[in-house]
Amino acid sequence: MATPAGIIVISVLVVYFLAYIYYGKKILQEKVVKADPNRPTPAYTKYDGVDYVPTNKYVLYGHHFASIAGAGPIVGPAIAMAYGWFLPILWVLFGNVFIGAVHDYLSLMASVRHGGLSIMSVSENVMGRKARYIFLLYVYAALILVIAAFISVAAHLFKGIPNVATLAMIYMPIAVGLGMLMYRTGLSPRTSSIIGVVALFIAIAYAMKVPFYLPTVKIGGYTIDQYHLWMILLAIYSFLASVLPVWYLLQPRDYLNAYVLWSFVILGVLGGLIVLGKPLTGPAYTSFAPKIFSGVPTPFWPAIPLIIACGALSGFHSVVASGTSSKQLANELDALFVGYGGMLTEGAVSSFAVILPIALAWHQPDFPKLLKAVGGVKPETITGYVNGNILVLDKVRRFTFGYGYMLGKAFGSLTGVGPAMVKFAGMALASFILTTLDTAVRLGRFAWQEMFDWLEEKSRITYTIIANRYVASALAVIIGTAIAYPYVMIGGKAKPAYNVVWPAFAGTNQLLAALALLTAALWVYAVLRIRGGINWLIQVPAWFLWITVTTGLAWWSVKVLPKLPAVQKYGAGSLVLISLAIDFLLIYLFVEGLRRAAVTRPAVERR
Amino acid sequence: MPQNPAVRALGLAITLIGVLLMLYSFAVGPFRGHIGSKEAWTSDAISMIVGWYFIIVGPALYFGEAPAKIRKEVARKQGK
Repeated sequence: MATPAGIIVISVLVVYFLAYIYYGKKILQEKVVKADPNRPTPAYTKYDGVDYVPTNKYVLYGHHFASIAGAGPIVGPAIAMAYGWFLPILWVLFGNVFIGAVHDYLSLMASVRHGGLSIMSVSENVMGRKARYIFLLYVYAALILVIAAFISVAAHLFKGIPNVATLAMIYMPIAVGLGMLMYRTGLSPRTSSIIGVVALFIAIAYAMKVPFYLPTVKIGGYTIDQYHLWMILLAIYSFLASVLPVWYLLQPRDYLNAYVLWSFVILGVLGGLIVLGKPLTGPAYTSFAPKIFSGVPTPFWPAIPLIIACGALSGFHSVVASGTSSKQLANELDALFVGYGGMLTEGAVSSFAVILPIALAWHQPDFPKLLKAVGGVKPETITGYVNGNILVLDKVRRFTFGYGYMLGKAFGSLTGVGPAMVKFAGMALASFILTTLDTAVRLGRFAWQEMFDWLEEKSRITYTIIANRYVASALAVIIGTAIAYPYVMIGGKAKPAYNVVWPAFAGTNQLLAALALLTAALWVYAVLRIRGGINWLIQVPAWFLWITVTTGLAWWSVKVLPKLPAVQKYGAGSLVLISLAIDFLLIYLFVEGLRRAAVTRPAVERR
Repeated sequence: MPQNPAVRALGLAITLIGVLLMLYSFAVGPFRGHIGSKEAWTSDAISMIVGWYFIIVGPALYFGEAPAKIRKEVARKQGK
C-alpha cells in the first residue's frame, strides 16, 4: 500500500515543533548558552551604523533566512530523490535538528559572545592563533568561489529569464524605500512592511509582463555579450550593496524577500495538508547507491552531505550567522528564532516544497497534463515520464513541476493553478540565489578585514589602506568576477572558468560546516564549561559530521574525480587536496584545544 | 555625525534623478512590451540601469549612515 502524503507532513511538523521547543529552547538556549536578554550584544557595544546595527528580530530572521538559503535546499533534495523519499527526508530531519540548526545557532551565539567576530576568529580562543588564520584563509577562498558562482548564475538567469532582471531592477529600490520607511520615518515596522509587501507584489505582476533586455556591446573591437554585461553590472551592484549600511539595503531587501519565500513555504505546507490522504507514488526506498555523481554508484553514507547541503546543514551558514547576523542581533533571546528557527525553515523548504511534491508527483497519470500546460517540455521527456518517473526531468524541473503539481491538485486546477505555481516556484528559486550574492561579498570583506587585524596594531595606516571596507569589498568582487568572467573548455563545452574547481565546492563547504561545528562544540566545552550528557549531545553529531564529510570527500576523490574532464580533475582535485590538508591540520589543533580545555580553567570570554 | 550639507544635496539630486529615470523606463515598458533591446542600447535601458544605481546610492548619501532612531536606542541601552 502506498504511503499517504500526510505521513511526511505530520512527521516533519511534529519533529520541528519538538526540536525547537525542547532541544533549541530548553537545552541550547537555556542550559548551554544561557542566553541573557540583559547582556548587551555587539550590535550595541560596537554600534557603527554600517555593519553593527541592532535589528528587530523578524527583520533579522528575514535577512538570515534569505542569506543562508541559496539553491541548496532545493537542488540537493531534488537530486537525492534518486534514493527514494525516505532517506532524504530522514537526513533532512536528523541533519537539521542535531547538526544544521545547532551549527547555525552556536556559531551565531559564539560570535555574539566574541564581539561579533566570525566563527573562524572565535577558533583562536579555543584552538590557538594558527587555527584562526588557516580557517580565515580557507573561508575567504570559499567565499570567493561563492561570489564567482552566484554572479555567474545570476547573470545567466537575467539573460535567460529577462523578467527576473526586471524584478531585480524594481526590487532593490523598493527595498531601499522600505529601509527608509522603517528607519527614517515614524512608521511602524508593521505599516512599513505592508507598504513594502504590496509594492513588491505589484512589482512581481509588472515584471511578469515586461522583460528587461540588454544588448551585446562592442567597445574598441572587444565584444561584451549580454551574459558578461550582466556580470559587470552585478559586480558593481554587489560592491555598492556590500559597502552600504546593512539597515539601508541588505536588511530590508532580505526581509521583503522572506515574505516571498515564506509564501512559498506556507503554500507548500497548505498544499501538503490538503493532499494529506493522497498516496505518494514515489518509492520510499530505491537503492542505497543509485548512480548520482558522474554515473558512479553513490552510497547514501558518506556521500549524502555532498548532495543535500543547505536543507540539512551547510558551512556557509556559520559564516553568515557569525558574519552579518551576529552584528545585528539586538537581544540574545532572538538568536534562537534567527539561528535555530532559520535553519528549520530551510529544512521545511526541502521537506514541503521539494521532497514531498516530488514523491507525490513521481508517477501520476495526470502529471503530463501539467507538463503540456506549462509548455517548453520536449515530447520525449513527456514520454519518458509516462514510461518511467519524474527523474527524467532535470533537477530544477523536478522541483518546479513537482511543486506545481502538488498545489494544482490541492487547489483543484492542474492546468490553471498548476502552471502558475510552477512559475512561482522558479521565481522563488531565483530569489534564493540573488540574495546570497551581495551577502557573500560583505562576508568576504569581513573575512579579509579579520585576516589583517594583526596589522592594525603594527601600522594603522597600512591596515586602513588594505582593509578599509571599500578596498576589502572591491577585492572580493574583482577576484570573484575575474574567475567567473572568462570561459574555458571543460569536457568539450565552454563554461565559466570557476567551473574548473566548482565540483569540489560541495565537499569543501560541508567540511567547513564540520570544522565550524567542532569549533562551536569546543567553545561550548572549553569556554562555557558544559559537561555531561548535553556536551555529548553536541560533540557526537559534530564528530559524526566530520567523519562523514571527510570520508565522503575521500570517496569522491577516489571514485568521482577520475571521471571528470581533465581540467576539472586537476582543478577540483587540487582544491580537495588542499581542503583535506587544512582539515587535518585544524583537527589536530582542535584535539589539542580539547586536551587543554580538559585540564585548564575556563577561558575568559571576550566582549 | 550629521551628514555634510554638500553631500546631502548631492544625495538628494542623485535620488531625484534616479527616481525620474526609473519612472521613465517603467512608463515606457508596457507600451513596447519590454524594456531595452537585444540589438542596441535604448534610452529606457540606459535610464533603468543608471536610475537603479542612483537610487541605490543616492538616499545613502542624503541620509548618512546612522539613523537617529537607532542611535538614540543604542545610547539609551548603553546608558550614555
